[in-house]
Amino acid sequence: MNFAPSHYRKAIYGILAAILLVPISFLARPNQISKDPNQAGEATGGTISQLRSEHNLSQASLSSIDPTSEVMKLASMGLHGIAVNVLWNQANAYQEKKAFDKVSGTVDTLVLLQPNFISVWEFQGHNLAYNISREFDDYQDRYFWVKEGLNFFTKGVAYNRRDHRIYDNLGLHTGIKFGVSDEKKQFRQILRKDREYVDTFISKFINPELFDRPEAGGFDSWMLSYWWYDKSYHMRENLGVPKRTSDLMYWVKGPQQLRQYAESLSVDFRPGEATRRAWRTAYEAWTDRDPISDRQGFGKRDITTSFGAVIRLEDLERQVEFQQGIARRMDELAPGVRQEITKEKVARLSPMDQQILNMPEAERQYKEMMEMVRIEMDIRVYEQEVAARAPAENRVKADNLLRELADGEFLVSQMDSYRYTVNYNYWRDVTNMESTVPGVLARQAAYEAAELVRQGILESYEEEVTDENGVTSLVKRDGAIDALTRYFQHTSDALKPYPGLHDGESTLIEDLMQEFTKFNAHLKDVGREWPDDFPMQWFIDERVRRYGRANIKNLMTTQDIEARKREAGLLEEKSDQTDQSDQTDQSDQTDQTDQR
Amino acid sequence: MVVEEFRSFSDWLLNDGALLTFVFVTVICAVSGLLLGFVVSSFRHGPGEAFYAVSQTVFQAVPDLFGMKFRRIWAIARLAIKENFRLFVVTLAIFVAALAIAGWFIGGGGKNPERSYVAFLFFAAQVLISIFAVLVSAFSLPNDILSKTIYTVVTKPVRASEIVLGRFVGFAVIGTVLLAIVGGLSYVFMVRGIDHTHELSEEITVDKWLPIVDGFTPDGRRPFDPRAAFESSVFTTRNNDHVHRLAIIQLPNGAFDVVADETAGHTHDVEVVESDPVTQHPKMVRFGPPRGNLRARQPIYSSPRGDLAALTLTDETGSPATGVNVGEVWDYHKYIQGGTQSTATFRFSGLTPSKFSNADQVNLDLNLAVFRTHIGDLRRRIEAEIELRNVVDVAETETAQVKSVKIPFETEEFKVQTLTIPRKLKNGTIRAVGQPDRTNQELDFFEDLATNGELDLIVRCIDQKQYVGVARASIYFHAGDTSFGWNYVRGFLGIWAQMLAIIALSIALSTFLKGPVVLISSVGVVVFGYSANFIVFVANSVLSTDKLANMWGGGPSEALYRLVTQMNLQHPLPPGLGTEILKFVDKQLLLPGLKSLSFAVPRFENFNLANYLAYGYTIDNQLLLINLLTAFTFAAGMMVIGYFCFKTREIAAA
Repeated sequence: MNFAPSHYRKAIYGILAAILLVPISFLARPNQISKDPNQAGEATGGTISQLRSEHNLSQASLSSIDPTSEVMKLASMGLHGIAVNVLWNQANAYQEKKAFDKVSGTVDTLVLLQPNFISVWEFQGHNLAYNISREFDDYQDRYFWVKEGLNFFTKGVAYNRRDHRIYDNLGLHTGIKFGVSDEKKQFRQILRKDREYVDTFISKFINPELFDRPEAGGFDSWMLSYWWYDKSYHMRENLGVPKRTSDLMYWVKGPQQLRQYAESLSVDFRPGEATRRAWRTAYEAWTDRDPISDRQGFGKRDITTSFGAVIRLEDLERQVEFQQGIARRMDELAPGVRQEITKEKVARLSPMDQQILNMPEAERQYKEMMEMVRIEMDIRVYEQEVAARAPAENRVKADNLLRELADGEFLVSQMDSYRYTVNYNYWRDVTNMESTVPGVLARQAAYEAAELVRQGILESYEEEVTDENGVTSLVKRDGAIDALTRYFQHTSDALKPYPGLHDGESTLIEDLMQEFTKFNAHLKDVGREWPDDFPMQWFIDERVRRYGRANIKNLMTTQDIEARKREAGLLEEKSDQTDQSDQTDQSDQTDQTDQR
Repeated sequence: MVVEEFRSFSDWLLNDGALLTFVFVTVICAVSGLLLGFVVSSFRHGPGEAFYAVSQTVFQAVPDLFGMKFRRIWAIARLAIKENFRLFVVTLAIFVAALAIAGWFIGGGGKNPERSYVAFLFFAAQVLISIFAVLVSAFSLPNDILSKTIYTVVTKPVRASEIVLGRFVGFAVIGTVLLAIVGGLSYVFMVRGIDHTHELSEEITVDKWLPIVDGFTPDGRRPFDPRAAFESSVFTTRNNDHVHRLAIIQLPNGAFDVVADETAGHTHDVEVVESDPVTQHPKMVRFGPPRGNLRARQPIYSSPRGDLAALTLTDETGSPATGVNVGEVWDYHKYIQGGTQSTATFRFSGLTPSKFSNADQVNLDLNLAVFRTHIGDLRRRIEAEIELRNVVDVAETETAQVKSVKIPFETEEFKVQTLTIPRKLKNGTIRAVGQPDRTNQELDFFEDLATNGELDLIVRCIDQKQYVGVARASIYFHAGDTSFGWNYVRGFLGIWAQMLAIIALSIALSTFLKGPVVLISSVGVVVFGYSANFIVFVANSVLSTDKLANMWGGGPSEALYRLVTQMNLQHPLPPGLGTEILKFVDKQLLLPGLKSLSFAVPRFENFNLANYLAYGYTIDNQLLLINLLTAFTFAAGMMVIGYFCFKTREIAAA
């Protein structure tokens, strides 16, 4: 085969290259800035540019253009995917060999190559703040690496202007690492005064005054995490950034941080009015409107469920009421039918079941309560049953009501299940209860009791106090047992209005049961018995009635107390009798002596 | 710093089989070269003529070797330098541009910025010099042959050996000059990048000095200096992406000394300019240049003594053990259990006063790992203790056992922690045979403990149920520091050695291949050299008869099959002839072949000595010698191959 001379060959190559430029230009022509204001923002480039603009994938719409990142990507000549793989493996190898500063450097380079892939930020940020931080023995080193992880996330903000997940991660990691980890006490203590860190890194994003809380002694980690989430909310609500996570788990975060903040104030410091206000804020942000950011409260947020329905958690009660209204309308369409069906179903119950049903609720014990769940299911009257017996002229209306009812029931079940997922009712009641005066007084008493226990003062004592006039007098000071008694009294007052909090195995109940046990132990330590007038005796009795004796372990019920009293009474009677007989014996002896 | 191999030059040469490998590879190369020459010649001239042709080529090598004249070599070298001057300038420009961009990536922040500097600069220099070396040497000879300018050389009275060696010398010289400039520029870049000072971010008032109470600052931190009486809540200005905090140390004479904390791998000398007239607390201070980040520590590591290993461990009952694995993938540290009889004994030799820059107090550097099985007291680090003992010669029963007092300390994980041991140690114990123990003795470190330079150092973990991890490099005596600049030059010697090896390789290949092919082949060999350790690892694991040692995924052809079919590593291959063929190719051909080849190519990653500089250690002379000898030997071998290939090549046919 004869080849053309090299210059001919080169000319052909040149022509071919020029021809190829035409489709390339058609496909890859960049966007041009239009001078016509009417066309501003419209994609005017090639097909690829238009597609990028359409899907918000252009670099300018994703992030600010970073020359370093662009140079890196260019320098890797389209092989940045491979380069990322190599760097990722390198980072892993460094981590395995505990060369953590190299890990940090490597991931910094890695994200320049893939700045818009959010999982890289999420994984590596978490890796720095969690995995690497915990490798260090000294909590101050751990603190440093947690900050490194958080700083890593902050670098990702500029690269991902259309993605709220960087802020979500900042909120999550700030909250959990500073507020929940083993070293939370030390971390939070250091952060409170870490002005250098705040001024240098955080202040670029959040005004430090927002989380510098006098009542928390300085910068508070929970408030910081709250404001990170608020940045994310701002993106969603004010900048129209598309959502990337489920509504429920997204909107719950902000109010959750406020609740944690109130909780930490209650534990770390002596609770007072500031604590009560913090709980109130948490309650409002949970149910109605966030008074700090003036955003919609969690309960009032529109939440799209996995079935596509839009619900608001706070609407459940209203929806249930609506359902009941439908039931009433059904009764109007079929007067007396419901009672009739109920009567029939009750009649079908066994005598034993009927006996339980007729028993007053307060007298039902654990076993009867369990049975009642089944009995209630058995005698429940379904709307379909009522509609089926409605008079013929109302049948169509009744069917329409049934359809309305079905739609409503679906919403109720969705709201119920979503509430259950986030423990909505529980936290609503807890925040509400904690924001009452008895709630705060209870916290105060608990704080004082813990402090007295730490000092080893269990019983009250008298202290000499000299006043301004130099007069010395004895003042009675509480011991831990007195403080705990006060705690139980206030808790009792606070808890009574919230029957939902008395049930189940919540952390609140768990904490209370622990406090009972500790109280019992302290009483034994000083040789005292369980008091007859224990302020929360009603609660203990209720637990026994609902869940059985095993639930309260070795605590005393009212029955136990009464038995103890009876026993004491008998003993007294007995001792009285013994005394009398002794006296009789003695007098007999005296008589005998006299006789002798 | 992690040191996984402690090899002396003689060990490497004799015990590790370097010399044997060299002889073996040389013999194999010589025999296969002769055979190949004979076969090729047989095709050209017939077997009888071939024998004479091969013999002639071999025997002519003797005068070609001994008849070489430096004048002629240098003339060719100069030519090589001249023709590559343009590439030299371009490479230098690229490096300068890379330095300009590097500023974007490397900041002064992080724990140890000097590590980032050194890692980047050495990597950049290594890559650039390697590319330069390949480019200059790959195209030179093939281009000369292609453009027939080689005739103007070969027709002159010049030997083939001189042509090959002359080019090598020329490229080596221009490469060396380039490397020297690159090294100089990068050194200046690093030193300038790291050099800085600070000012106070605000004036320190008396209330800014926070007293240390019960070992902690009011905001819950452990003071950075255990001697601190006060710590400042004022920071320095943020320069080079970091700040420092200050602390006051009250000296025995009542005066105050101010220290800056160690951030970003360094601290600064602090001079008090103004003090509070009433409380004497410092108000204004001045900072010196950074101190502590560009170091070259000279360590004296433990070493084997007779049959005893350099580091031995005992378990919780005091019996010899291999240490506990706390579940780490990296099996570098061996852990000893706290609060038990578990110990780690380091054996030192050669501890003489002359080796230490300050023999009045000996610095012991520790780099221990820690593992907690329970949280314990988070505010305290894990505690350990060391004890020094002289070495008792079993034969000489009269030698007394001399023990220092146990020195407790809080471990500092992932940091080089220095314990200063005074030469005169109080409260020591001397136990002689047949005599009661003499306690509370003052001991001289060199005369009583490190007698004849030998010493045993015993480490124990004090905290119960907690663990301290040790490796041979975890504890060493810090003899002093050498010049960082000189250490930097030694680091570049590693890159220089690599450059020589690559130049020789490319020249050898260019004697019988065309330019682009040489380029690809050289890069291939270099990549192979970099991956040699991995290749040997894979080969050993796949070829091993121990099933537990087998790696998932098999050899190269099996890996390729899995990659193409997207089959995961654990899934067994489908039974059948195909699988048998794959396994045969891997186990009988590819892996043994690749493993054998790996011995003929230098391990290029060993030429990068940046880690020593990054972590502040003097590059070991023995290591440097090993690198240089490896490179020279490889280069010499390549020159011999290049000579024979060039000699037997028919230039006119090209």
